[in-house]
Amino acid sequence: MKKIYLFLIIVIGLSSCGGGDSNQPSITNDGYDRGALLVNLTDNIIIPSINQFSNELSDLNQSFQTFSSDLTQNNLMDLRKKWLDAYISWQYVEMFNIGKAEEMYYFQKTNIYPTNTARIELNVESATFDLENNSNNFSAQGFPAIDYMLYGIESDSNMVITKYQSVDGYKYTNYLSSLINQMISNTDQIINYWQTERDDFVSSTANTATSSLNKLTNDFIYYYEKGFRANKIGIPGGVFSSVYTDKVEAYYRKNISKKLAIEALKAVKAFYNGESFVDGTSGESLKTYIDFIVSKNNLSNIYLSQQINDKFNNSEQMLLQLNDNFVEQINGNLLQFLYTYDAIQEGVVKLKTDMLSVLSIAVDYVDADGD
Amino acid sequence: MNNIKNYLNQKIRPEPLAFLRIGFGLLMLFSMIRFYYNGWIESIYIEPFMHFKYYGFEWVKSLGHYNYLLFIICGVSSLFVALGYKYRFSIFVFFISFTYIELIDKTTYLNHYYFISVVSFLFIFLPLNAKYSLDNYLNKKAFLSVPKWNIDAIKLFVFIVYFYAGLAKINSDWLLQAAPLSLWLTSNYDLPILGDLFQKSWVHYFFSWGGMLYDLLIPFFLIINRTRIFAFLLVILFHVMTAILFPIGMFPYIMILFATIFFSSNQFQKIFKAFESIKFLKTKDIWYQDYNSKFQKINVLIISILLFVQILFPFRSLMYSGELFWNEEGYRFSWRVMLIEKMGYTTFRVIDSQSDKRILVENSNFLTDFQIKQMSFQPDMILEYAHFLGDYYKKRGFIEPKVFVDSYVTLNGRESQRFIDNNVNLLEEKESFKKKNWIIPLKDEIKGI
Repeated sequence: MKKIYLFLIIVIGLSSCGGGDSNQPSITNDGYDRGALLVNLTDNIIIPSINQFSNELSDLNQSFQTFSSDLTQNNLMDLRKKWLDAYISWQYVEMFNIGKAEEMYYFQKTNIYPTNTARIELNVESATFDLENNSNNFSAQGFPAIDYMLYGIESDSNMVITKYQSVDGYKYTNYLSSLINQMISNTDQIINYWQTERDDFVSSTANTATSSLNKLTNDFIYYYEKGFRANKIGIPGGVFSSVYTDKVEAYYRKNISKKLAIEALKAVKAFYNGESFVDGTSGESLKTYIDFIVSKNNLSNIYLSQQINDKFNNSEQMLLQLNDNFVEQINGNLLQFLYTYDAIQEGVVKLKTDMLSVLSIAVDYVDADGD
Repeated sequence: MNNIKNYLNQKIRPEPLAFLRIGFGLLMLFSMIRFYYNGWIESIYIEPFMHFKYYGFEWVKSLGHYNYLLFIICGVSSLFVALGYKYRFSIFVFFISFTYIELIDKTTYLNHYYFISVVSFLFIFLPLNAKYSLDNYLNKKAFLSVPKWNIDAIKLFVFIVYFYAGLAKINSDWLLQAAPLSLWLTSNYDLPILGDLFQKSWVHYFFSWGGMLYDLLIPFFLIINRTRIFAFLLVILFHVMTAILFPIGMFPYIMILFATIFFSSNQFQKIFKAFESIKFLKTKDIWYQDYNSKFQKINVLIISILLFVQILFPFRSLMYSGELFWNEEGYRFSWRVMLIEKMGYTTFRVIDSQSDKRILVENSNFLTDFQIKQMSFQPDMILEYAHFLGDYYKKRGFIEPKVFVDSYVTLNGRESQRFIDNNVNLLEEKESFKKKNWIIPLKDEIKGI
């Protein structure tokens, strides 16, 4: 009996040792600093990306002002260029569908494609529409809608200008103005959100379904699987059912669908590797977190973080070989397009099985007991 | 033979049974309320478009919104059990309604739900209402003693649960890699004090070995008089710890309650003294006597069979070749708890061999997130879902559907690998107790029991 009490005392003693340790600052060296991870992702990637996007939108608006007061070929070309710049910049923002962005349907209001042209024409004609709250208008605004307004309403640029110059042209100008203003006001709200929430966000380091890192990781994977893999490649390529060439991104502009996809993948890679949006230097990231856990727990899965990068790089190589215009790619060589999808899919597998398991990230959507 | 007869005739005071009955009934009532409070009746039993069935229990259907009624029946019967009101009928109703709920969908399978089903079945044949029950007052009859084997049967079952859980931990992943505890403990970094400790490798091994030794030895320490109090303190410490660390619901509290069955009647008398001083409960009309069941023989038989099955059934996995943690053939109903961290990603292709129709299934169109998570790494669920998809698309114009699966799974921190043969049309495979040859073997070996 005495021996057993001795054992009990030892057990309790051991646990209280730990208590003593934790009061010393040196203990933080032993665990992974998730605070630093969140600070790097937030301050060096999320916030600068959104700020950059906001600047591109201002440029877009300026260019639009010039165009609307002077409907010339040159001004249209500049407007189109600014639209593309902003669209590329958006590829670095879409994955952060978190907090305010999720709440206000920021992604849905910015990049749902194919765009609903009938709805757009209806809105143009009636001039009364609610882009803010009416979810039927999600697919009649954002970049895909502007794509239609700049490339789709007529078959070439001269005719587009003619359309804007026509008697009803002002209706199109007004709608275009509304589209751009809506994106600006949406983005202002997001910037404001990060200004006020940043400190809370980076200090939410717990491992619960609602803590920052868990939400960010889940949103990242969701974006890679849905926003990137399915929307840009899988759905138009007919992976899920039949081929829909009209569902490629930037359908009316046509030859930039590859460019947008590659930018999106670059954004994914940069986020995963914790590369600063400002200067490209690497910091704490999902990659360094994986490496930490794998080596700390002596897991056999030692190449995991590199394997994920390999999957991304392989996908990028495959994407680079595709036609600039995914419509032509699908019509010309669907198989090559589907192989690209498969390469991207291999990344989904790694993220959703190995990475989630190693990081023991509480999956946000599952709420039940285990044993 | 005489020994057995003597043993079966031994008497013991019924206090431990009364305490267990009250505790069990209240815990179950709380458990039902908790289920409702968390919205699980809706999300687990009503919302899903399809349910995963246990082999042989395909006929158990979800009752839709009447599931609420089922939970009410289950909750009320557990309250009646606690009160000892019409005990036999109440525990029978509890067993039936609880087990029915569990059989609706195996996605939510948990060892402790199975534990509750088994003990509530066992309780049907035991006089848990012998004392301190409403039945005593209604029947003007209470019992000073019950057969000793009644309590021993419960002890034996608890013994099996702990000991087998300990045996299952004797494997190379658990003891040599500290897996999956290392992953789970590391992720509890935000706990005060312990969080930092959980980052240390030796702590992972300490918990792994400690957990194994605890499960193997605690039933012995509970049985031995001299060590019982210490063992019970350890039971509380251990289970409260697991309750803090892991999302395992009611399990820790249930096990703490069942450990009390090892205490002798004397130790309970103090508790019930307080009980007896309540005026309302003082009745002079009650007739005290020894408990003697008319059905003693049949009760002994049924419970012997039950316990015998419980001793053998967990070993059925030995009849399957291959890696148990990977194939999960004979994994359930065997007290294998906390042993595996599995994460899967599984997608289905349905192809019509009579036309060019094909579809890559979006799982979320048919399954809840919880079902997707569980299905993705459990072969029998993958097969059942494949058949569901085959039937579904047959009704929607696929003349001769074939279902293929792309499935990848990671086990205890290993690199993920293909789980199911992607060249096998799962519609040609049937669920059975036979070995599933379409599972691709784990490229590793886990040594152990």
